Amino acid sequence: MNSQRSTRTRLALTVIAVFAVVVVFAIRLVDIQVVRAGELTTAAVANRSKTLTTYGTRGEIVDTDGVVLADSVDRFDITVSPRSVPANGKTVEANPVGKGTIDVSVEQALTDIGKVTGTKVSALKAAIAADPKSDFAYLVKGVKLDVYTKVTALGIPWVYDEPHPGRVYPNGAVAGNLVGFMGTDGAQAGIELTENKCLASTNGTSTYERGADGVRIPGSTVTATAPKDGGTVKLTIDQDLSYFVQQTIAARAKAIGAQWATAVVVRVKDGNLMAVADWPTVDPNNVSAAKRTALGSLAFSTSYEPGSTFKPMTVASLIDAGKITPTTKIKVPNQYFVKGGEISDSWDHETLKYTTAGVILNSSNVGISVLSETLDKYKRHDYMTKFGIGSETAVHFNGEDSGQLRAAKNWDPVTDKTVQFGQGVGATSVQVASIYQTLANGGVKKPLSLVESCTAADGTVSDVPNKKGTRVVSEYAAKSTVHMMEGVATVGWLASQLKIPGYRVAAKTGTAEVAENGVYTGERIVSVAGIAPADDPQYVVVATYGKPSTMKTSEAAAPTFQKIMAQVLKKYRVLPSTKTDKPIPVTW
Amino acid sequence: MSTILVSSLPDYARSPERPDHGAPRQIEIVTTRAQRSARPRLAYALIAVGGIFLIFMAQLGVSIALSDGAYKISSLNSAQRDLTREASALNEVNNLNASPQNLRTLAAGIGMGSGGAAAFINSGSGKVTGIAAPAEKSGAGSSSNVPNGALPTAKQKAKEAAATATPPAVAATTNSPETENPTITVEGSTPTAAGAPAASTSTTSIPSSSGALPSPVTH
Repeated sequence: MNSQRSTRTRLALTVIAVFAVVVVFAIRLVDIQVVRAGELTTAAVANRSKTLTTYGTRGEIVDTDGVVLADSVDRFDITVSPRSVPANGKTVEANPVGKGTIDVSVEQALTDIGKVTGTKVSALKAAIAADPKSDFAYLVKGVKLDVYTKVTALGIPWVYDEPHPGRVYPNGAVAGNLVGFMGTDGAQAGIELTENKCLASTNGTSTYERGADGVRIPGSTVTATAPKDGGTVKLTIDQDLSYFVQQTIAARAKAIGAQWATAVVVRVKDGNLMAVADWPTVDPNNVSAAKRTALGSLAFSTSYEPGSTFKPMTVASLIDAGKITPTTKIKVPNQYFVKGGEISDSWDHETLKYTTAGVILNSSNVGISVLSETLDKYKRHDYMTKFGIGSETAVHFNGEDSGQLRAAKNWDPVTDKTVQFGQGVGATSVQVASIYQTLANGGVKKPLSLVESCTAADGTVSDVPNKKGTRVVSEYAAKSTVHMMEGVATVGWLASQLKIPGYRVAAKTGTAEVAENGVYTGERIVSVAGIAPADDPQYVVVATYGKPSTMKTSEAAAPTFQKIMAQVLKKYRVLPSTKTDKPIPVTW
Repeated sequence: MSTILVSSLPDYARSPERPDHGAPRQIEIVTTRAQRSARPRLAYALIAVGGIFLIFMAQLGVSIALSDGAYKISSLNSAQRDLTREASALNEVNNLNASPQNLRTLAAGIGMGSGGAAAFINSGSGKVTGIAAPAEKSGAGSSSNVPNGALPTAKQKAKEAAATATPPAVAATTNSPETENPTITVEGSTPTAAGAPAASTSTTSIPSSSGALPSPVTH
């Protein structure tokens, strides 16, 4: 009996022990699987998972033909873990001629990196020595793919890399003033800045679980926010023409000792800016080399008293108002007296008998003043406003100036007349170009545009400029003014320098005095603005030089205008003029 | 377990056959049909075990295939990334080569200058408009008027040329297909080298090409 009891007791104890163990396991199981399930799963996933930043690409800026002006490129920073650099000076490199590794010295490894990256070994050593305990330091920043590939092929264990999206401007200073540039804090100037919303990309993230070898575990969850590439901004600018225009104004500006120069080419039918050139200008690849004043676009940001290039606008306004015709006969005295001052021409003369066409041809300030008497100043002011003087163009370029046009009630008797020939009033080169676009387009002003469109990565197109024209003057007023301006390029004193064989050219010169500290100085701003072909206007060119030192008349700008216009007509295959119009009499 | 010694047991208890019974009585327990049919069958067990085995094997196969696919995806992804980078780098070189500054340098290298004033001939009337002027002298004007900092400078070009001319350690590492891209070193970087042969071959190209085409006979 005793033995039976002890057997039963032992059996019971065993069962209890086993049961206790099972209970302990069960509790632990419930604890792991139920109570702490969430916490543990998160920890486990975090252990295995990796979150990567996926970079979106900033959009391109292209010209009207799709030539890339600003491009996003891959650059790589070569980094190092200084604390992993072997202290004994012995390390390994990938075997260049086979598999495996070869033993090299740290010195040799750095020499190899220096050789492929073009960096001095001393600079590499300094980068490592700066903080030897750190786990991260830059060795070489922003290397191109070929260099990066060579560095990674070296297979040095303590050398790492990280991608670093870069921005490159393959055409350098061509339209650099317009394209703008990027700084470390993002877009800094030009289209890069004003169209940043279109161009900017959004970086994405992707998280996945990976095994010890870094490969994604099949079936593991991927939670990803896809990166969003930026859109492409298409400009109206023609890169090829811009290069020519920039070369031309730069060469001439240097020759005549000008302080600055601008040239604008506008397509008449739609107001598209085909070239807006400045000198000096900026190469967005090398911003630090540019003058501070040249970081934007002078043609948009610098307003000046344009001088006689305003005369055709005045004449067109007066014709539109029905006050004069191209053949209106006036007497032009040597001096024109108004309360508080006098107005004279650039040459002394007896009283001349000019028609309106004669006033334009000879660029008579007195003649314009006499003609302006026919319309009250408020209406003349309104015409100027309608031509766009005193307000920014539709481009609204970064840093654009609206020019200076005082209210008519504030015009003193002298200003009342001088504004009509471009003194006492300020305008930018693009505003002058806009005046000529209006005249060339039969009196209908098309808003100037610099950006043709923004095409997002998904193909949606936005930022398409408004092309709705507004009538400023009648077709008759515009056409007859253009016709009068033809005289300048056929019989004017600079005709030989403005002529383009085969084409009828209408142009107007301007030699404006520069006011400094409230006084007119000996400095000049000289320009030529014109339209071709005069019988079927298609392009407007305005060339301006600021403060030339050796040639202070519009003769300085005439060859530039002619060269640019000839190139424009040739490049866009404009058909030569076939019709001839009877010249308008200039005297009576 | 009993601890009683065998010797203490009575005789009958020691012998398996009891001597007081004559012939051994054989009792056969016969299972009923119902019992027989209720007995677990071996075939089913084998099918079940085999099935489970098959399922495990299939699962293993799928798992292997999946992880193999994962490696493939991973390598294709990185190949795609590398190729995209390479395309982008080539595109960059292409854009740079097409830049007017580069074309100007190359053109000047083979003696070209920008064109002079244009003259037009009316094919109908044969009338010539304008006076054609000869082209500018090659290389006239300053190339620094419209600079391009993205183009390698003469110094950088020389350095690159020197780097490509020293094959031993570095160039030997570029034997993998992805580093063999012709990007950067060839085009644009050595315009004079590229320009010179082009100039010399252009003079000889006419006779050689005229061998393939019938030569025009003019009088």
